[in-house]
Amino acid sequence: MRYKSDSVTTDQVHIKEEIDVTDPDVIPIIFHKKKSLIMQLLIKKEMTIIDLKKATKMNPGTVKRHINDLLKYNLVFVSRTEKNEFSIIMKYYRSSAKSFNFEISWP
Amino acid sequence: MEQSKTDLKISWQMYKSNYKAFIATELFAIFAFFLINIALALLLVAIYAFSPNLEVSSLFSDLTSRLSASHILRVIVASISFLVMVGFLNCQYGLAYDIFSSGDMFAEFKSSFTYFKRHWWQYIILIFITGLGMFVPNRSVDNDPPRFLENVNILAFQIARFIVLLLFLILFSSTLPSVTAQGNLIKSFNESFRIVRKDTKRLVKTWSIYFLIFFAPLMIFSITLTAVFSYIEGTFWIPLFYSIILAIYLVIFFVGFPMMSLIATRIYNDVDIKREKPIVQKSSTSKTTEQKQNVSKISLEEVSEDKAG
Repeated sequence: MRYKSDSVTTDQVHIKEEIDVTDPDVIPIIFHKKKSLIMQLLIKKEMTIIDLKKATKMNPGTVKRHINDLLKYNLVFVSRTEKNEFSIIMKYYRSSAKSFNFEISWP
Repeated sequence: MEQSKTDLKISWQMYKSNYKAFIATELFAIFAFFLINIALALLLVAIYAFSPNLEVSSLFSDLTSRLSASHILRVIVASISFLVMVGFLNCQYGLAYDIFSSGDMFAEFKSSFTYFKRHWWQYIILIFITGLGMFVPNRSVDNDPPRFLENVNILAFQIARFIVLLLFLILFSSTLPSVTAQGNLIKSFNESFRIVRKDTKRLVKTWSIYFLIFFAPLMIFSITLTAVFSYIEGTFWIPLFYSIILAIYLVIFFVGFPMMSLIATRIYNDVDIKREKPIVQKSSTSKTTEQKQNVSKISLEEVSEDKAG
């Protein structure tokens, strides 16, 4: 099964072209409706939780929990942390790769 | 002046987008206050019920010569619940830390419990050492109706009280964000004094504006009340005055308090001083994996590198 993004608009942080996923626990994570939506956005560009909140219309707490799940399986990572002009620290998240390859065999 | 305006503006914007977490924390603090009062009262009743021969006065033999056992117990119960309430209220500094420093720019009510677990005793000690505990609404105005004959003294006292509060705020307001960020009580005073030395004008301006917005109405109203208290009577004016006092306290409690923590944390973050090393790495939520901790460590290192640059 192959998951591929439609377009890659910005690429400030170099990310891998594709990752082979062998851990079966990742499947429910990546195919979760909301998490896959977040992943699609993070494949295109790096975003903060507030950016993701605006883009997905989800509660920031919910976005944060989805991000934590994605972080746990190395599907996303913190691409950079910076202080904005108002001295607020902003953490940017980015997808680990532009596409993910799954090899599933059952049983 | 521009900096002070920005401090207030940014803090207000952050309050507007996170007010639910702050108000929930305050309501829970009040709830905890009453819950502990009731629980301790029930515990005492249970002790009495199961030990009919127990005489409480024997526990406080010296004190009971001056105070009744019932009074002592009420003071103990009220003090414990008050301390828990104050500790929990100041978890708002943890929420402000989540907004300004964690990198995620939002706060959740449940984070208050994490900060309470980490810093409750430090918050309580700081609040009492620095005198910031005086900002906890204590019904001093309506508890103690001023008498017209003592007008001059009471007026002088009220003005002096507000000036002292403002001074405490300027001197010690950064201790709470500091202890939240780096976790050491004594170092928080060092950082606070560094901030005062570095940006005194900004602190004076920002906190004076804050004071004018949130505490000047209370001051003006309590002085007015002092002057007219002996003249007003009837069922209309007295309830009206007390309703206004209640409204002012509610604004201070639900808006002024969170704004205080947000302004203090913003100033703490913004002023360029030598920072103390954090004792523990902070993360905005209670659940942390090893990977997340590594990420936050890298992030913090990146930020400190930026600062050095």
